[in-house]
Amino acid sequence: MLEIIHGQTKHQVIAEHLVAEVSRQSLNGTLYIGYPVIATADDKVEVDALLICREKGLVAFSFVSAANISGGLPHLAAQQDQLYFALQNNLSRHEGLRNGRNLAMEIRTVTLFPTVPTIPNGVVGTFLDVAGLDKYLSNLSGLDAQIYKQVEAALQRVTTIKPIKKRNSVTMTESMGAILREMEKEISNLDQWQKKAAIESPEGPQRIRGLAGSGKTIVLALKAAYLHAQHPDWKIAVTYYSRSLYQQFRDLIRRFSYEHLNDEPNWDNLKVLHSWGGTEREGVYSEMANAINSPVRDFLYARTKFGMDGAFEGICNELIAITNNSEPEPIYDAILVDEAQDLPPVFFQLIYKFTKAPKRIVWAYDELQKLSEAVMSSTEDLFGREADGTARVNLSNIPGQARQDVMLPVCYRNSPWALSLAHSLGFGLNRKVGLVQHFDDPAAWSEVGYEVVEGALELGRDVTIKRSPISYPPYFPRLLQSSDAVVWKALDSEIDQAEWVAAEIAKNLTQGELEHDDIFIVLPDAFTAKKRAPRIQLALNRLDIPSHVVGVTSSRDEVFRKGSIAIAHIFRSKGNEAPMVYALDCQFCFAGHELIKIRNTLFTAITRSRGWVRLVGFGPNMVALTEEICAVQSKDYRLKFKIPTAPELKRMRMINRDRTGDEKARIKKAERGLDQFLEAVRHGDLSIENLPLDVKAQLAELLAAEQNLDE
Amino acid sequence: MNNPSNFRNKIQNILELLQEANVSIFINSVSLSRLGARIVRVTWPDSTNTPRDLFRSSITDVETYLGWLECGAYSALLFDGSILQLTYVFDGDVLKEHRLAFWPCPYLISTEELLEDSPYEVALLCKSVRPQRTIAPLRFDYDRDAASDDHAASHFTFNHDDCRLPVASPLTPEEFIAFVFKRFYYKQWKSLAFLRHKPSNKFKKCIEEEHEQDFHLSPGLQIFSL
Repeated sequence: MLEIIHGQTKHQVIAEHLVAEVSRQSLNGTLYIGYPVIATADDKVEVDALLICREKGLVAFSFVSAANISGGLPHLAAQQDQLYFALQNNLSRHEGLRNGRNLAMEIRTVTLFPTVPTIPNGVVGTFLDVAGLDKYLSNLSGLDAQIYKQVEAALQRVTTIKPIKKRNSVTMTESMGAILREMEKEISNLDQWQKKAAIESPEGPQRIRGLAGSGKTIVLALKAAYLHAQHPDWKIAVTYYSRSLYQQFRDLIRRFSYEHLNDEPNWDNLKVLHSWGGTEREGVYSEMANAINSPVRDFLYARTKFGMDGAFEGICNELIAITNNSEPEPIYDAILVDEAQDLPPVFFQLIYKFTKAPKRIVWAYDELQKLSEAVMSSTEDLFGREADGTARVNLSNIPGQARQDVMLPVCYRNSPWALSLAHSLGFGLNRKVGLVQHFDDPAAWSEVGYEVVEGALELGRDVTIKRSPISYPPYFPRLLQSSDAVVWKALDSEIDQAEWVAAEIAKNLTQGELEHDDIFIVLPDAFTAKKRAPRIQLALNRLDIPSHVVGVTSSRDEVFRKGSIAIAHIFRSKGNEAPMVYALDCQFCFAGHELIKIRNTLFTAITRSRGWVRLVGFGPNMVALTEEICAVQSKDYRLKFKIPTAPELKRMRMINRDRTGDEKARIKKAERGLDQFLEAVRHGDLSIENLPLDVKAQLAELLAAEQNLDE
Repeated sequence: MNNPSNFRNKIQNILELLQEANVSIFINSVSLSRLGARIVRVTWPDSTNTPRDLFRSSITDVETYLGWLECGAYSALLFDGSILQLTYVFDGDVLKEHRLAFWPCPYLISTEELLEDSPYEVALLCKSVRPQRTIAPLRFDYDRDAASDDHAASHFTFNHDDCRLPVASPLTPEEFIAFVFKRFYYKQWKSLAFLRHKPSNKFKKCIEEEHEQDFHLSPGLQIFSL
């Protein structure tokens, strides 16, 4: 099978012809258009296409359009030489491709014309048109299996993302630290989907989606660096929601640039910008506002005028209203947006206006950040519609072209067992009294990496699903045991919980050979977190284990700290991950009024883990929760449940929804009333027999209905 | 009676009671660190990474308060954003130093706001939008080895960095807490009996006669009565 990767090229037509011709050849390998990106000591070298396959080895192409033969053929021959040496240099870096002091394989270079001109004597090189390719290729010899594998790997290595931690203190072969070391080494290689997604760039918008931990940020960073390498004069912006991504993007882009171009990117043209910006830094919003001479609103203004939650949306709305009367001059050639689910649609409509045609806007978002709620507005809602009602952006994947809608199927962060459990608890799939929430469209399960084992993904039907094998990297089953990856513990009291966790952490640090900042303690309730953290800290202190509470004894942005265990409540932990996660107070997530919200919290807590997760809690609600957990574990992490019908979905959404402040107050009052009623009955002030008949009847009816659900 | 371990327990207990009563929003565990052969310090944990020069900053500077808040460098953060800091240094079983500070919050912040977000971030926001109140932090310092004619071993600082009002003796944790609550949080003082529990020990007088003849503070156990 021949895989085609449609990177960036100026010669679209020739590229298409090449693709067509090569596809006809029944080759096994890869055809890259506009890749790899390489440079000599002085200059970037254009590799318009590169074919690597077992049958024909490696052929690098330079495209020439008719109008382009300035300097004539000798110049083009020299270009081929340059290409040859650049590739030779690049490939000789890999030991597996060397044979003594030479390269263990041939590099062929071809200049491809629409029609071949006559070649004068003395000019050495291969000059072809597409028609001549067939004959040329038939004369080529292939590569042996070993070398071929090495070349593919060398070309696929878009960048080396070295593990951040060296873990030199790991001595035992099977400790958690040792396992982590293995995992971190493996994760540093991009997979085929990520590599393809990074290079493929359509002439227009592109959407990249995947579960949290599928590598979207890396893909965006590399894509930005790649576009910049191919078009150094373009104005490119990379933007995001969390401030902490700034450093990550800068580092990745710089690394790619050095590896392939031996040079620093031109940060004047390739900008890493926060979506908003602040008083010290530019952002996309502030750039746009400045571009049309509109005042740049700061957080203070926004918060005061539009409230905390609607602050950014409010100022974007303001800005776009100003542009309604006169279209602004676009400033971006390409813009890449990470964490798109956290940015308001009006922001996308703004960047649409400020991006030049053909609107190269790439956005990436996490599927399922909020489980069943539509996380992400549809593309139509995101970019809005024209005056006549047609959607501004429509995504479709046309075969033979760079894809517009890209899915990254592999979740690297969470083990398949943790993820399955997180989904089960988040949706309440094994809850005795019924599900908490569910997708409107059952097909979403397969979109997020599940395969059907039994039944069907249809409303009202029974179904059994499990994580499909391509949805997780092989190192999970190879390096971890499911029985160790997910562990639950029900204790008797808050003190027991703190003591148990502290004792376990002490073991993790010694026998487990984990480091302090590998461990993350998550509390589900933001409001009470500051009250509950000290108990845990006390237990850790007894064992001489330092800890900090994120946002209290560490700054909000400093989540992990060397030599100290991080304790955070759920809002602070979003976007963060750690090899070992202790989710405490899980009993809070079992039942309550805003059930969707608290089950989502449990989902978020579990999915913070890159390796091992411990679900801890105390009291009867924790015991009840463990029944749900055991139900999943006993089926070997297969999820078996009945998909709700449409009316059931509606009802679920209603009773488990988030409540407004007023509603919460009313609920509290009603509950107090009930308590008082029961107290009165117990005290003998009131007897059930003397209740008015219709009240008794209503009570009986409601309780009976509840009983039925239980059975 | 007076030793690092006991003091650690006493302070830890009071802090936990304050936490239980929802008077404090967050407390740091009390830790013991050995500073020398016989020297032990009882204070909040080192892991807060408190920059040393904060201790030399002016008592009158809001930035100092914000600095404590940023690192979580305190024994307790109270419901209104005020900070309590208790530090004792022992030489064997003898008290060598103490530093007991109360930093009232310079802004009017609600408990909800402090619970929901990072207290430091909330205070920063208040700095730009809310008026700053004119209130003074205060500190009880004791340094056995620094006593001299113009420098009482135990003194009280407020309103100005050079203010050193002589104090008749070092303060026990209970006396300090009682002082803060009886004088500045009377409502809580009235409702929380544990604050008014009279301790059995009290430090001996350590004041020079000339300071005693001057304006000075004399802590007395009557502080524990309603």
